[in-house]
Amino acid sequence: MEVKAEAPYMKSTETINEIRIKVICALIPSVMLSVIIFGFKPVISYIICVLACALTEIMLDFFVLKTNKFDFDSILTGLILSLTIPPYCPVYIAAFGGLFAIIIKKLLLERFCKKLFNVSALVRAIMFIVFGSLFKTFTPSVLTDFSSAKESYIKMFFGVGGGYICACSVIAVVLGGIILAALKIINPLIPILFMGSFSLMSFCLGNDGFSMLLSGAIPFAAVFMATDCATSPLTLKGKAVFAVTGGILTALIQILLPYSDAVFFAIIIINLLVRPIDKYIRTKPFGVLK
Amino acid sequence: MKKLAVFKKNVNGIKLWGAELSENKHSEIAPIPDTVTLLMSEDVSPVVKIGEKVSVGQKIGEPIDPKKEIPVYSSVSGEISEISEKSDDNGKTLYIKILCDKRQTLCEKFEEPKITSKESLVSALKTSGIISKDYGKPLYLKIKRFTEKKPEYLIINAADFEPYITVNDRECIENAENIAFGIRILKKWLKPQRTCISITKKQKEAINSLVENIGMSTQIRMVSDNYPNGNEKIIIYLITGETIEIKHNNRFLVLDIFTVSAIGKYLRTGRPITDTMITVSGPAIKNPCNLVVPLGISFADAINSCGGFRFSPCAVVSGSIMTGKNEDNLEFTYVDQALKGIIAIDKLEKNDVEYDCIRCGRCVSTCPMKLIPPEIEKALAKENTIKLKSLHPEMCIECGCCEYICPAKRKLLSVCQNAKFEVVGKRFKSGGKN
Ligand code: SF4
Ligand code: SF4
Repeated sequence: MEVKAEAPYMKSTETINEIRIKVICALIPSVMLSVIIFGFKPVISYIICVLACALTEIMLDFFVLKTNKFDFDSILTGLILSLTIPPYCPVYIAAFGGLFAIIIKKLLLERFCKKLFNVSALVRAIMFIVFGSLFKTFTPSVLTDFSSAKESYIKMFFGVGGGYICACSVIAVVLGGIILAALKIINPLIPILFMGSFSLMSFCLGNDGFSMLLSGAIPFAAVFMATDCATSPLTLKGKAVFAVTGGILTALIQILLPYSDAVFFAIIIINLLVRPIDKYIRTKPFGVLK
Repeated sequence: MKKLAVFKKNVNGIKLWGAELSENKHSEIAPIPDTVTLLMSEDVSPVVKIGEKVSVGQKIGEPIDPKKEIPVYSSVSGEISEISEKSDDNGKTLYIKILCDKRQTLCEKFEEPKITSKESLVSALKTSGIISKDYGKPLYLKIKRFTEKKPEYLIINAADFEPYITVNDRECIENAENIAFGIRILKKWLKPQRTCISITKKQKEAINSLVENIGMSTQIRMVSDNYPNGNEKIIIYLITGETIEIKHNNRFLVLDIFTVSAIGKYLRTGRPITDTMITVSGPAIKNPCNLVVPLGISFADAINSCGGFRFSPCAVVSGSIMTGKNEDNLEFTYVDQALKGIIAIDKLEKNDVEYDCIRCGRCVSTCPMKLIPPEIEKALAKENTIKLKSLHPEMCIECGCCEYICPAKRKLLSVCQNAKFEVVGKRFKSGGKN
């Protein structure tokens, strides 16, 4: 027997695209600050990357997959991706990243492993492997020497630091995170635990976790990548475990890799853990007596 | 039954709207329609014939097996015009159509029931014909469970948690004496260890009126007005902090305040319940209001007494908008005591495209039962019974919150219902534990 149900007749009006637009809005502070700091150079790479994503998606939909499912997801992916590359990077890198991201997402992730990985983190990690040396040349040098003086903390916080575009200002990222948390799109637990466990772990390893937190792409990744709903666990408990593991892994990988790129690899690894977490860490339903 | 430790009495849920349409409106009495149609199950046999004159409160149906059913009373005065039969999945139903003479002459033989013991209370409730609004079944069935053992807690729910529905609120304001009388009788004979009324903060007028009439003898507790806090399990948890299995519940008696008021009314006058209050509301209704209607009035007549439709509605939902049913045949659907309201809505967000689940977790953090609907959906699609069982879909109260909140517009409610059926149905087969 099939229980026939048509209720509820009342539904929230929020749609997936609305959520994505809200995330894009939360990225605006980062984008604006990057313009203030680096001038209009990064804007070109945003546009190129987003365009590359959108066009690839449309092409793939039209010619290969023969569906019409265009949504804001690809634009969001493009924007996040272009924020993680160095500001003075040549545009072909951005274009390549966007193209690659959508191809991976559409042809690989959605078909074979059900969006197992966060696309932008995955592509960013691949880009690091391919263009790693290039990245170094285009990264402003402010970041490469960690001056541990107190005033540089403050500078970094308000965004005079260098590095990747997203890493230019922690305050913009924090603002974006607050917007998202207030709109109930992300659970603030994930970024907080992620960054908390990261600084604790790197403190244990004898690194200056705090300055890395302020200067690196870590807050950005914690707010915008680790919380990506498709690749984070469903339950609150699962989310906590996920975030803590992510933070610790980042600190560990950081020993092997230069400052900011470790976090993308860590996110890919914890993405792998999502399914097991969902399977084994469950909240007990209300009223199950055992 | 084991107790669970309680840290914070709070249950997930959603904030819904709609009550403001009929909230502060005094109830109106609907004009007597031309005909009413009363329904009887096959366990009730009619004691009237076609053409016979009946008056308000006259018994027209007598249960064949008094253990199973309750008598049916005429809600209007007039003439029996038609007795027809219809059968569906739930068995045969008798439809008794009465042509109203609109004079509403009362039947003369009302006697105040004398309550001398618990048993006489139960049998009085049986003859009263009261069907409880929250439970949808004859009230005495619920009370009967408590005749041997005293209930630990008598919880009377005075709040309306369903969107658009405001009948409990109105009943508190307008018929508080009946409520007070009902509570007194219930307390006297059932001897609950504690009694408490649950109400939401919004209902200031109702609180005042209750305090005035009941005094301080009964505790009034505030609960949040989230949907679906009206669910029995949730309200027991909110008030007492205990999680129980409803099927084996013989400790907590939860009653709707509307039902308590009906008890009071019957015990004071001896007049069987022949009318009920419903909320006729929704964006498509011209004049949303709380309406006192004779039982058996058709939906179309009830809506017409509220000024009809403002524009043609997209759906007319009976009962609750979150769990109710879309009635397309308004002329032939009739109001019964269990009905809380009729809601006509202007647009359905149903036709939206269903997207893939984006795993946003909204449904998980909204489900009052802390279930994981997308996992249930997956397990159901794969017919993975072991996994399905481990997800406990049988705990689902079918409130529809998950589907309400889902941004991908997945049809989670029907998924959970199917999963529940799958699990519960199989359990019955495999030896019938629980
Ligand atoms: S609310 Fe809908 S989209 Fe979000 S996790 Fe639940 S089923 Fe998936
Ligand atoms: S319908 Fe069931 S699964 Fe959905 S929110 Fe309500 S109790 Fe939870």
